[in-house]
Amino acid sequence: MGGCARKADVPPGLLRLAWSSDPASLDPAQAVDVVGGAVVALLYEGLVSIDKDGKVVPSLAQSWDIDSAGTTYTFVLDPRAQASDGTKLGAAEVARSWQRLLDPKNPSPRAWVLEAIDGASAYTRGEAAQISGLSVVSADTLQVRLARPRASFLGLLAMPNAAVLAASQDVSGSVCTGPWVVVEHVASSHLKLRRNPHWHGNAPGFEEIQVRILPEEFTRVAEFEVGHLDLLEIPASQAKRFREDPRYSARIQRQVALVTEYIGLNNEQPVLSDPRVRRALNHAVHVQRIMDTILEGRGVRSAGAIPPAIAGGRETGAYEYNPEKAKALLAEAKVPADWKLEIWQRPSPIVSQVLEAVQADLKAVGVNAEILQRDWGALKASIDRGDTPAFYINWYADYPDPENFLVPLFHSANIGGGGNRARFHDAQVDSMLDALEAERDLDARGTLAAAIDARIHDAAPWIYLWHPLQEVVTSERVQGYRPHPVASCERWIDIAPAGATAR
Amino acid sequence: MSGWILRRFLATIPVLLGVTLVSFVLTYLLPGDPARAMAGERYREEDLDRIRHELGLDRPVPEQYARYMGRVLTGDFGVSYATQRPVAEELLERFPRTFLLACAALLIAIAIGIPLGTIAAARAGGAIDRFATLFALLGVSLPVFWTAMLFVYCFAIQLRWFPPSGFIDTSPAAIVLPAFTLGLRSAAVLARMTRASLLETLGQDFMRTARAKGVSAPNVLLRHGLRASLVPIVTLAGLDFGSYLSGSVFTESIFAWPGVGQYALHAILRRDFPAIQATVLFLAVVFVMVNFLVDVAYGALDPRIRLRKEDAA
Repeated sequence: MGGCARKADVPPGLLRLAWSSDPASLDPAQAVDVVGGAVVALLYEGLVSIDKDGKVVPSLAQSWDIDSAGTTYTFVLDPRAQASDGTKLGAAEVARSWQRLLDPKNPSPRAWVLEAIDGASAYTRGEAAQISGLSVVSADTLQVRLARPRASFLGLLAMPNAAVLAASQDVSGSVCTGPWVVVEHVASSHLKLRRNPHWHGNAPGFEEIQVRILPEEFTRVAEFEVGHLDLLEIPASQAKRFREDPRYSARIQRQVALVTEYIGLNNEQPVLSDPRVRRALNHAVHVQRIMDTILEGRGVRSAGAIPPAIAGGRETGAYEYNPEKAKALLAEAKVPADWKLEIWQRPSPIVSQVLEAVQADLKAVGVNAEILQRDWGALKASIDRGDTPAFYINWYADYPDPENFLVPLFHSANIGGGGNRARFHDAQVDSMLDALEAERDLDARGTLAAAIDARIHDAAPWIYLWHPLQEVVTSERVQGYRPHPVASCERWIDIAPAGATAR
Repeated sequence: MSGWILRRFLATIPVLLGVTLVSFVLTYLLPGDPARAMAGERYREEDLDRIRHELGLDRPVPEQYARYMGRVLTGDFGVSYATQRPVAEELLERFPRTFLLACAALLIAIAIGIPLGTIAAARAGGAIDRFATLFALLGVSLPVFWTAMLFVYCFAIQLRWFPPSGFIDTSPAAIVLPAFTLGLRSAAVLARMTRASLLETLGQDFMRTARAKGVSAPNVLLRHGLRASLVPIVTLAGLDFGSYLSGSVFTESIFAWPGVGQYALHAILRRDFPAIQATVLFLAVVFVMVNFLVDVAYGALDPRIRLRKEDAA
């Protein structure tokens, strides 16, 4: 009754999505999580963006030139670019937006995104009146000088935090620079967006987007099934049912996400500081069986931190399941008989199932593991302080570059909140990572990244698990959907109403 | 009577002061850290110190409490760490939604619970009585999230009568399932309470007198019996209403109803101290007020209570 009536009323130009949480803010400087990044990608334009093949592509910048030293970037902006209020969007607006991110009076927690720019840190600390490495050459030309070469710089610029605001510096969503403008935002309920008529890119296929905030997985599935949503990321608990249902099976899109799931081990704690113990734990856990059973096959076994789709990602070489070898390593490391491993997790039924299987595997080699559940805030604080012996966690790519998986996760400068939560420390890896930052040749970067990842893998700072396979089902109302490898770069511009002519 | 009401009202002030202190201390005892929550997944340690300084979290806790109380007494409940919006504004935006859901749930509870309990008492031992007992048992023992999922499956996915979730502005029918989920549980408890209370009343002397005077059976039951049995029923309904108003976290989350319960949950998960403290204080005020009104209602329902209170005064 109600459901059918509603379905018929849906305008064909409306795309209906659901997110699990509400963006706390629409301000690029405050986008510190996946949802925050996702909304910023819709509303604001960056100099560059990431396409669905994971490549850096022009956005506000039509083209760019990098000097031979790899430190000076000259961006030529699209002269047609305008904000949704019709005002000019040029180099001056880029400079102002970046100054805002680095503002010494109110710096963003994401100021580090631009720290590679020469003079950025001095400006944030209030030691300089200007960002020395940033110069507006002309209305549509911007020159950026880095303190030292940084091959991942363009990737960093694709992050939502580096987005460009209109001249008015509006962050309420009413004046936007990206493909969409906010029409209505009812906190914790929904967000309505309309095409930005002044956007310089090709007009998106849909005219409007409605994003509903549905915190519960169960509710999202129900809303999709009654036809109130056009897209659903299928939860693991429902994977089999959707695959076997003829109404949905043909409309499921799959991709290996640029995500690494792992059990971090605190490399500074007694017992765990011994690499033999950490290797033993990797040999003890039958990861493939967990993937086949609990995950219903939705994952690719990790042989390193870098997902296989990114340069340097390894497809082979994962730790083999070998409980005998694990026992021998533990004996060699003289692990005390009463040693107990605490593994912390956030509340999640699927993670609980995984960790129960891990616990059983560890028990089989004589390691007693205890699983502790804490909410994300408490868990993160404890991990970042270095108080947690082991923890189930994941890492989502900010941009598809091996640097994004290696430097934050393993460089000793990033121990704690910087991303190196396993507190891994290896001077050789640090210097190899510094070399990776300076290497600009793509092939050489891939080779170097693979070597670094292999070296770290051998030291086993984590129990390596998998790169998850995402499954997304669409309604019959849409066509042309392909999942984006980086969630915070999805802009919903190439998906179109079913039956619309391809553009 | 008015003197008693005034004294009853003044007695709520120390309760509310106690609530501010306890909620403040408990927030600080929570494991986790608002600065880390604000900084996100990847941050520099120096950013944490800066954020803590900006929020005043680096000052001694007693000083923070004194500042907080100073602001609260002038009606300033602070700004949410997460959204940077005034907390009072956010709460007032959500409260009407929770109030609406609470009223709908209470209506359902009363409309089902009291008649069912009354009939069960009147026909004690009969088929309706047995049905009422079974209904009450089910209503009390089924967890709210389970009832919610069952309702969504039956009435939204299978029968398509109502939307599975949503908020009344976008789809008015969206209130039906959450209201029934909340209300049925109270209906079950109310039915049991009504039955027990009414059975006790029916055995009393004044009921026999009423019947002896020739008052018709339905009149005896409803005008004399039910009214005299209402005190425990009103207490129970009042307490339930108070708890609905403080937001039903499960129901609001499953049905994506953007009310106070969801707000409180997000505030806790994000370690949004001003939002947690203001929500607790606000809900305490609501709860105290509902209890106060229930107390006043006793007097209206039962002259004996009114007289006793006046004697005591």
